[in-house]
Amino acid sequence: MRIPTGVSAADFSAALTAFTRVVGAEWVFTSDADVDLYRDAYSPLAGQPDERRASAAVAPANAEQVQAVVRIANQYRIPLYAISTGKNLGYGGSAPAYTGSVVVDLKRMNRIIEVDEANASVLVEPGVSYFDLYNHLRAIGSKLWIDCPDPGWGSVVGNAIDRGGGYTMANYRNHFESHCGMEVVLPDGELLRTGMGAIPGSKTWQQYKSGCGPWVDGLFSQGNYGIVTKMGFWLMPEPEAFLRCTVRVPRYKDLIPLVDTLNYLENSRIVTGFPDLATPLLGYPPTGQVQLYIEGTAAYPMTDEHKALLAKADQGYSPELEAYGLAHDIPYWELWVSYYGPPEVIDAQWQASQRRFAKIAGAQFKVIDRLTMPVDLTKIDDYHEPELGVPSLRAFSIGARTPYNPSPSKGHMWFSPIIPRTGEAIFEANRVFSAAAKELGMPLFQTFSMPACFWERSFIFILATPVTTDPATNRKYLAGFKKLIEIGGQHGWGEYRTAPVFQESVMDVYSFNNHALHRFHETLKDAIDPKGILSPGRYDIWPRHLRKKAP
Amino acid sequence: MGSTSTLDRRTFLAATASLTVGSCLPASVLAAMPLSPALFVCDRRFTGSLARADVHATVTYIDGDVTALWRDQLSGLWQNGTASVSGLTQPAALFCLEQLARGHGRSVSARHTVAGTDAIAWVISPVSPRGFL
Ligand SMILES: Cc1cc2nc3c(=O)[nH]c(=O)nc-3n(C[C@H](O)[C@H](O)[C@H](O)COP(=O)(O)OP(=O)(O)OC[C@H]3O[C@@H](n4cnc5c(N)ncnc54)[C@H](O)[C@@H]3O)c2cc1C
Repeated sequence: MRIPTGVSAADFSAALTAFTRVVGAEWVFTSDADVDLYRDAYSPLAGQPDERRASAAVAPANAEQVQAVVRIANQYRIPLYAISTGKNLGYGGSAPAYTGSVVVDLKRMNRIIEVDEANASVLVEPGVSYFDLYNHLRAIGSKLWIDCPDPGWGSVVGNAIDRGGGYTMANYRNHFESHCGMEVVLPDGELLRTGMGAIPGSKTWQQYKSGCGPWVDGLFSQGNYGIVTKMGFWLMPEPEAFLRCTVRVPRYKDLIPLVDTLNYLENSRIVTGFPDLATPLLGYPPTGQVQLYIEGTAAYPMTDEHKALLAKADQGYSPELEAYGLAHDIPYWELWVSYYGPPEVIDAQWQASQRRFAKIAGAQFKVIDRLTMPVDLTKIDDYHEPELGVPSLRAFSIGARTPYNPSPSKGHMWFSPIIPRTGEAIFEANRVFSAAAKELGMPLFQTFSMPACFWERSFIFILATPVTTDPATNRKYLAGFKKLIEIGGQHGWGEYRTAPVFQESVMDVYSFNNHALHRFHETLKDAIDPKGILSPGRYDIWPRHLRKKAP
Repeated sequence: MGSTSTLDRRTFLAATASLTVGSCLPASVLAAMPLSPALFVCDRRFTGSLARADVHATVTYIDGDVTALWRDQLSGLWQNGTASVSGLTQPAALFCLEQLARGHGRSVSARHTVAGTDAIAWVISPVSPRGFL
């Protein structure tokens, strides 16, 4: 059995006994075989001495048991690490930020407490997965949709707390922003409700987010100030119809007005679905449609001449390549836009969109899908399921061996800096990161990379860094990843989210005024968690006794 | 998700053996292989080897993606009951099923990479008496 550093064997054993009294022996896990299940399946440090590993796990059934576990942890100074479903693959899995922590596994807390059809909202516990919520809504005949990330097995709460994103309408895609009200166990075991939930007998907990006074909800996302035991979310009413179209523009420089126009249309709530940027000339498919390409249904075919020109292009550009595209009607850029709503409304939105995009010379328009709801589940495989509110696991087929992916990796680490939502920024990010990746020997770019459009006002320039079976290669990529974070910081870019192994490097970039933000985080930590028991090290927020740097 | 048919232990072994000329499953997989698994999951890529099926278990075919298998069959099957599930898939599909199994009191009790192919033969069984690990 592993024991957390600084905790005596006697105290650890007493704490485990006390946990057992609270949750029952069946729900305290201490054997290596059980605790190993909390290792990060995508860890670049798998099997290495510095892999972050838990010492034990405890699975409470309700908020009262979470409170009791937290109080016991305070008594014996046991570091805890809360997870919801623990499927945070690519961002750390279910492994703790601080080795030796006891994982507080909230999977048993899987109640869907309330579905308010009229308010289009739900109140759920952390163990509720997207599949669970989807199935429940269908079972009760609800006309509400979920917005889910690519893997549907994750937790509605856990994903939102790590500030994940999905694929439907803009105001639902940002999962933390679409939450409304939280219940949180604080590091001293106190139970807190945020927003209108702070009013006993509140009638509007899932209707108005901020309540009155400072709005604290953000502190419980990507932080270590509490264990979230309930969370409300606003859901999207099933739309009458869905329309997906493409806008294709011919020239390299067209990317700039293409993005500017998209921004105008999104900020005006004319384009409402997930926009997806692709480049047929450079062979990069849209983020949301990537499975279809792997399955061979929508690949951009290329002639040998095209491939040869591409190989010679610099950062995805050469006059010859552009000329080839123009001569063969292969657009440089392709934007997928989609719309949700009544047919006459979305048709009008598409008309208005075309009018705007038509200002780019040579723009071409095409309707790809026009669906009426409810979704025909027998045909769901033809679409990117999350865009139609349906959870899926198809993204993992990307990991299978296919012609597209001849040597599958062991997993990946998401490098995901936020960059401005402009065409110029896409060019610059490609220039900066592809040069750096080349120098660092990291296989991140084939030709040119397109950002993901989860958020409305920024792009995520997301790159999957492979995890291999070779520890030396993994170390090299790990060091390279940290260097990329640093380089991003030098350009004013920072990650939106990252795995524990990179959290120190990432938070180092947020250094304005001598790390005022980080100092504030740690001041808060000292105030509300003086013994530092809750998720120490998460997003580089360490309790005083574990800090490397001078306070 | 596609069609289903049935097969038994012998066919499972034959299927695997026919992928690996001259090699066979290790004793650990043989021992763990249930006589009649509740379900046998087969990636269509490997169906050729199941052509001569002797029928005793339901076979579900997948094309790499386990979503429909999970949604339509396993999520219900794994809510309760103790039945084992076996399969012959690519590692990526097994990875997903292994992760899902963990949340439902099950784990991979045997696995065997079929030499020279992308196939992996596996058995997922309940872990007694654990709740969800
Ligand atoms: C192929 C692939 C595609 C992906 N696509 C997407 C995508 O489209 N969008 C996306 O957002 N992500 C994506 N991911 C990343 C990740 O898999 C998902 O975000 C997943 O939903 C996160 O895991 P989870 O929901 O189980 O959260 P958890 O792992 O349970 O939680 C994440 C973290 O939040 C904290 N936490 C969780 N619950 C609590 C709590 N109750 N109280 C306090 N702290 C808590 C913990 O620190 C935990 O480590 C993808 C991953 C892969 C491998």
